[in-house]
Amino acid sequence: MSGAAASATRETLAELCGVAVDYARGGATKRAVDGVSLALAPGEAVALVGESGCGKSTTAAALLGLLPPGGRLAAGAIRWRGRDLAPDDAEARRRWRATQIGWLPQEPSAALDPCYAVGDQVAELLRVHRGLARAPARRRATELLAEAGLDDAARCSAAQPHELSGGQRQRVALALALACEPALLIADEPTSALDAAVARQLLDRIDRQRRARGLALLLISHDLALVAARCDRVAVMYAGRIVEEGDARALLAAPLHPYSQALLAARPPPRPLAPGERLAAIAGQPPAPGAWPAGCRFHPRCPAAIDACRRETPPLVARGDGRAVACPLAPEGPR
Amino acid sequence: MTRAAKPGFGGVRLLVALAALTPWLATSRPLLELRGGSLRSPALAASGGEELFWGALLFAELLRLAWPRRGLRVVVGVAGLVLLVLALLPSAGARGGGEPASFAVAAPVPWDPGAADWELLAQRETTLPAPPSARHWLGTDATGRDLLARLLHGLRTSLSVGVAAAALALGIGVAVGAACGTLRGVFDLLAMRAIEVLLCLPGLFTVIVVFAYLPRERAILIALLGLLSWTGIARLVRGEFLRLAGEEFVLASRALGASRFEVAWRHLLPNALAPVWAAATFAVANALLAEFSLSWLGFGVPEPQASLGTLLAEGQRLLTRGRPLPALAPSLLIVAIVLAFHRLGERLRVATTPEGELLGREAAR
Repeated sequence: MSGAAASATRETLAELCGVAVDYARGGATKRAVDGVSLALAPGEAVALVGESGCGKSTTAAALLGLLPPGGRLAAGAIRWRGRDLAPDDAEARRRWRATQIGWLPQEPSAALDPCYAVGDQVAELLRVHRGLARAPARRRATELLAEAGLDDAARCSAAQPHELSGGQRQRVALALALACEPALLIADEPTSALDAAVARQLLDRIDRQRRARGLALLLISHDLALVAARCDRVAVMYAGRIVEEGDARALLAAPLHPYSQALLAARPPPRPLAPGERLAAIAGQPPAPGAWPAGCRFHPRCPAAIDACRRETPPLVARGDGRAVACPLAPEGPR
Repeated sequence: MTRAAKPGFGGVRLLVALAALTPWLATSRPLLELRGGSLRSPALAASGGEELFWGALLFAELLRLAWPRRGLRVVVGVAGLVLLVLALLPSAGARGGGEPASFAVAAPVPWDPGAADWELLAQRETTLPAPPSARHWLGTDATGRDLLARLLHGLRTSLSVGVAAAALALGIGVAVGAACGTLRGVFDLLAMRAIEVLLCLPGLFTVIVVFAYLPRERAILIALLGLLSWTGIARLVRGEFLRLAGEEFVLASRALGASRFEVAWRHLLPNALAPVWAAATFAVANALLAEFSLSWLGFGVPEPQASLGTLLAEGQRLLTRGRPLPALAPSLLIVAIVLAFHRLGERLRVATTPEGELLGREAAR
């Protein structure tokens, strides 16, 4: 089911329709995201997966309306509950972010202002966006911190960020993201700065909170297997486009696109390597944004590439089983 | 401010306390007198708003120091109340008239900075300043004015000019730097070019030239010094804003719905100010030196107000006549002040930079 198909059949929360993003750098324009369509239903968890530089974070920034300086939405539209979000009305966009969006950045522990006690940071959000008075905001902040898994929340809420451990700061960041009861939580590589065990813990905690509140999740990551198991659907991005999208379990079990297959194969095996054995890796480097090869953008690194791949850009084609893939060599789905 | 920075406050705190107390340390008015059956304090009653402001600040600091101990807290509080009542009572001269005081406590330095000791002048035959004596602890200047009283008042004048000019520079610098860092674009470009033009002006000469067309008043000197020295702070604040704008917590705050101005006010400004405090402290030292030089050249604080610069200018003429003290005393004082502010600035700088903190710890070992 592609993004466009999804909007027709289901209620959607957030929807990206053919979004393209250009960056202007020193007179030249580079395209970072090239026609991405993605839809999220309320309460649904979607993973956006790909290597660094493939446009995942830019896609999320475009959705938020927070492209860095020089970035521009070149094409496409962003819809929220079926309505277009006006890209020009910055104030409306800001209010929408304040009430509807929770954001967990790449390094959650760097997401706290070093100047304020952590409890005050949560309370400030509640006071500004929810209109709570000082004392109730403080009480609610402590509750939120406890819900996010912070032990001894009453004492920790008075601590400065640097007085807390990395794990504690993460939990505070999660409490911040969920403070205003958003409808959608966007987590941009929340685990990339963490070791495997801590990453798993954080994802579990997000999962619990998500289920308890019924909020939708857009999880951005480069680790397909780690996130796919916790999401309903997965979209795999390569060089600014979505190359495969579909039900998470099906995709994990049998990836259709050669790139998805390579990503899964590149995971280290869950056993010690035999002497002389090497980790599987995708040969070559992902192309720089805007410097994409003609035809299928993955063809220089694709083991199965044929002549047609070098000439024509394969479109993302929906198959009957709710999956979509942009590769002519992928096996046909059941019709 | 962090704990590590606190020791550096000592010297500056002492100097500021001395300057704040000067109107009551060096004055010909008695601190306390019994006249016509009522107790009055002419010295306190003569204080204006500026004196009371500095006094109140000093009192607040004393109260803060005394707070942990209950007994001390009460003593300081009651003393403050008594002093306030004495300051607000009408001065005895207004009511008691010609009645002589039956009892009086004089100030430690019972001389006004601008008044000559006519009795002493009448006894002396030379025009040289009087040497130190029990009557004048540091002697007098050539016109018979008490040198210690003039030094204390000079310290007060210089310090107030320096601090006020630095405060003005800090205000303008932070405002312009924050505006540049927040608005960016054309405003930033124009403001930065304007700063570069301003940086090309030779500071002291500009002050002298502009001062020639304006009334010689302390407030105008402060304004000129402040208006010429905010550029460094503006560039520092702008740089901090640009650096912090890339931090994750700023992005997170934007993503959670904060507007650009909320981010600038609540997150960028408080974080940008840490290194600015150190710069502001150095700015005080620089403004002090500028005032010192200007007054020495005769373009600064007008007579008969004493500033350390004018004192040095006066004392310098006596150097060759075997009286080094009138030149030496203000010079040593200015060195002490500038060193105290530099020490404080250095401590603040060390305390507010992560690398600096490490260096400080190394040095402490």
